[in-house]
Amino acid sequence: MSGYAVSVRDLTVRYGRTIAVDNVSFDLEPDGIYGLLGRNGSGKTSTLSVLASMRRPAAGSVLIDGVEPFENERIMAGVSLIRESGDVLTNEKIAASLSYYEQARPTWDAAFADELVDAFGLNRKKPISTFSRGQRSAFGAVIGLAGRAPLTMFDEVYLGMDAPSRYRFYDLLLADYAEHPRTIILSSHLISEIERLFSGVVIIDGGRLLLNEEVEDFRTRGATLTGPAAQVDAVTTGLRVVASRSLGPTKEVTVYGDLDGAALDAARAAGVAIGGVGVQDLFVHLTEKESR
Amino acid sequence: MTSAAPLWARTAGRMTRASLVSLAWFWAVCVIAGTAVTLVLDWRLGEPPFSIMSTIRYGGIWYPFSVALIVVSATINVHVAAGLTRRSFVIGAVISNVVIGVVNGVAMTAVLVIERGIYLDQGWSHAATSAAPIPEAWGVSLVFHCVMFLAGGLSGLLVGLTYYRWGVWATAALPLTVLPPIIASGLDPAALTVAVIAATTAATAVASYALARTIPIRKPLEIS
Repeated sequence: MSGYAVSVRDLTVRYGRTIAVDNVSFDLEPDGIYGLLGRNGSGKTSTLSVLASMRRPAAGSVLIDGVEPFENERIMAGVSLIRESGDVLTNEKIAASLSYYEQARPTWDAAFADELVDAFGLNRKKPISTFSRGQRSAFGAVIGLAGRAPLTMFDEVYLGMDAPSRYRFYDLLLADYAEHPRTIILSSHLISEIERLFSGVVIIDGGRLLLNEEVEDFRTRGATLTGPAAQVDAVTTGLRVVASRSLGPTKEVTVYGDLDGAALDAARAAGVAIGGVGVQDLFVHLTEKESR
Repeated sequence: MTSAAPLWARTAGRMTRASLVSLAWFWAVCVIAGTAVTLVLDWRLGEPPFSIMSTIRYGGIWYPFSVALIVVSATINVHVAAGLTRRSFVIGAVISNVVIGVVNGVAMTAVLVIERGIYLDQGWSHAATSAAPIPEAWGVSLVFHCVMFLAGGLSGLLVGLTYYRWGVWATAALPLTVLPPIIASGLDPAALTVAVIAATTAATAVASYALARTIPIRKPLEIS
């Protein structure tokens, strides 16, 4: 089974008078790992909730595998949203929740779920309510991975895990994705840890779509230019500067946009050093208010 | 492994199996406690003044009410997160409550029939309290108790859904959402009363279905 394509059109989500998602549109090709990035309260969880049929949009639509997912038996069975605290039977042992998900998900791999429970060192004999935040996050990861849903979404689930568990999760995710390609959306603040997994990024800011690009395109559209302030100012004229800092006569700016080869050559010729920018740095700069 | 049965049937089966376990405990505790009370009253008063087992009916109404209410808050998010529809949840819950109501009704009728036999054998009057008349014909008793207990379970489902959806504001709807078990608690086995309980209970099921179909699924409770 391959992954589902996602199409979001003019999506708006409201909570009373508060607009959480404002007229957002984007498309995701099937079989990719996408980062859904945004600051706190940017609308990431609300967007994922609509994709997972957790709620209906106030306006606009989403199509998954070409159809509206809300209350659609086939699509809902193939869409999995793992939320940080987990949607599990908290007063039961993990076997009860695993059984629930196994009976619900046609793509569930019970043997893989058992392997994952052991890999994360989860206690099978205690009720989930006694688990620490990290253990519950790990159990959410187990459910998301073993479900192998054609559209699998993890909403900050790894925040509660300690560093070794997070890296174990990233490795398991990547290995399982290689064997069972599907569409995966990761939402996280820990961008530097997971950006290596992304094939594309969607950035939402203040409820609005900031960008939706393949990750390599995103990276190549950003650059740092470092050198004498006068030269840096000269070569960045007309470019979109999203961050700037000075140290004595030296200035470093981060630019974002279509950087053509001629501009870069001119910068080098002027003695300005050009460097790359990570996804996290670009994300931070692009979502800072002064850069907008 | 998923089965070929419809989602609502699988949901009803899962809910019913879980409820039957707690229901078995409920009846075991009630019958043991009722028997003990009967023996103590026989010892202290010479004979029990009324049918002790008939008082179980209050528990038979409000215990399934509580269970249904808890089931909504504890499992609807898991159900939808597992990729199952709200429709299958609410239809499964209604069917499960119907089955539980019938099982409770059969159990209550059986307990009363056995108790009546013992009372008559002992020469005691199998009288009811004024607040809890007992239908003498077992068929009438069965219908009366099935409807009564069904009212409790389905009302619990609706109350659970209203609180899940509207939070504390659902309190304003309580006079309507708990109407069937309140009427049933009057314990009047008249045909008109049973018909009113049945009608309001059916309305409760329809309201639950309408409410659940679009209900937003809340975020699970955060833990520290």
